[in-house]
Amino acid sequence: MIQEVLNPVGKKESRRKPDAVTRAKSRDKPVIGLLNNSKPNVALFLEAVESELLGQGKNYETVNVVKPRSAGPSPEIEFLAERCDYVINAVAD
Amino acid sequence: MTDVFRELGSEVAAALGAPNIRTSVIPHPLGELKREEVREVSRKAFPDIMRNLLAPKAELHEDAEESVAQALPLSGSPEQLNDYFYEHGWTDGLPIVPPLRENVAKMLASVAHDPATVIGIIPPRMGIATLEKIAINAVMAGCLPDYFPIVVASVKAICRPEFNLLPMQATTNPVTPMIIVNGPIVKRLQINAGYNVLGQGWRSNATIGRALRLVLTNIGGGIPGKLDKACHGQPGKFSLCIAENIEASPWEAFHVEKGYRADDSTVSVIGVTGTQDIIHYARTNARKVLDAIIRAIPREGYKNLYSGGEPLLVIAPEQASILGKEGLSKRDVKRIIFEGTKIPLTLFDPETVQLIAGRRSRLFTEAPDRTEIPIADRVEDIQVVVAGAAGNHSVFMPTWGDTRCVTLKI
Repeated sequence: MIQEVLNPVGKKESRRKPDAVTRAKSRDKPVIGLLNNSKPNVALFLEAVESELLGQGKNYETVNVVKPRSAGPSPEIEFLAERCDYVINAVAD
Repeated sequence: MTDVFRELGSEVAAALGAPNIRTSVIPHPLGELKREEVREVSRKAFPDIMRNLLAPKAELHEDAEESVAQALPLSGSPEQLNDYFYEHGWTDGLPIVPPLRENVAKMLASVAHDPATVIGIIPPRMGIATLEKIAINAVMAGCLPDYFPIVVASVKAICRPEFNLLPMQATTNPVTPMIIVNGPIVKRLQINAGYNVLGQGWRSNATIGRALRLVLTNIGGGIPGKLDKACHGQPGKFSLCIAENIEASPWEAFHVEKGYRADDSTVSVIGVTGTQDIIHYARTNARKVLDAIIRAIPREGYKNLYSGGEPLLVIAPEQASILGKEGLSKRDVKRIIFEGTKIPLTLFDPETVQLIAGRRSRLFTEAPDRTEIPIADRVEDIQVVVAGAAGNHSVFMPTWGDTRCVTLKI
């Protein structure tokens, strides 16, 4: 007798790809968001990145956002999308 | 991100619609480095971060549809089928019941809905949990068809946003969903609420909890070391399902507290991180029982302290009876534990206090000058269930702070 064995793995949800984001908004000073996931040392890491970004005559503006909880999306994601040309999302542990 | 999370990060980004997200990777762990070491890691990573940040946007491409053919090209003995499933990472390490089409059909017959009905999306892989896919995993777990509505309701419950399943599946924390069953279905299906309630021995408890774990693994992609990043995990990740011993409880049932009728059958899911037995020998009055519980709850190192949430106490009938006989309501018990387990902030270093203040901002907004913190943000956040049998024990189960208990009707 032929037995049909079924696959337990579910299909992946088909997600709408996000709309193409226009890169740097042709500002004089591109804005870079620094998103801290609130894990230990991440603030320090991003502080050092920010220092590099702003040092030596580099022409960037930075915006700092800290997630209140590492386990979940940032409540300020819309703000970052609106305000920034680029975002560095630090997800280290 | 740190290197051990690279695969997880890429998988989640792809599942959320950003398959071409660019990542700069640094060595794990970051959290244990000294100040100067963090700066050095950051300095080294900076050129790569900027390269990734400013690189031209990559072309988006559609994911190739993975093969999820319903029927597998298999034949052979149960042992050979088990080997095949194990080699594909589709088990919990224990032998499974091969999901033959006829058995899956019997499972599906216990719910009168189209097998293609979508019950939820299981992260981090964002797999679609149709009734049929859940039924396949329930067969593998050894469920009887009568158990299936409980499994389905549990899947629905873990998919509620407040349960916060995505990070729960991926965290280094040992958290796992525990199922608590209430109502008439407990007796009908002989779900254990008594002896060894958190342990082995009952087909219903064992297989219902196991089915949920297999759903998390096979539909959600929570394979240990890949997308499930639990540092240790815990034995409850094999299976964790109990019923409340309402007949031995002096209080209203757990699901009644959540707004359901006593004759409703419900499942509650709660993300627990382990079990700690609390035994008390001088059980002569309520104060002594509560003092033992209060002193047994750790003063540091469990997630509720850092993130709040809903720590759970599973109180055995003997201890519950002593508390009830002295006229203490469940709310009284919660309040006494809430007050008695407060911890002075001076025990923590300033960085930890800052972390707690960020995650439990409600506490610090209400009282900015507070000098101590409770185990939950509010008295009612402490969860109490009566379960177990004869014996002078209760169990403290810390929960993962970033999740809320969800109760649904079966």
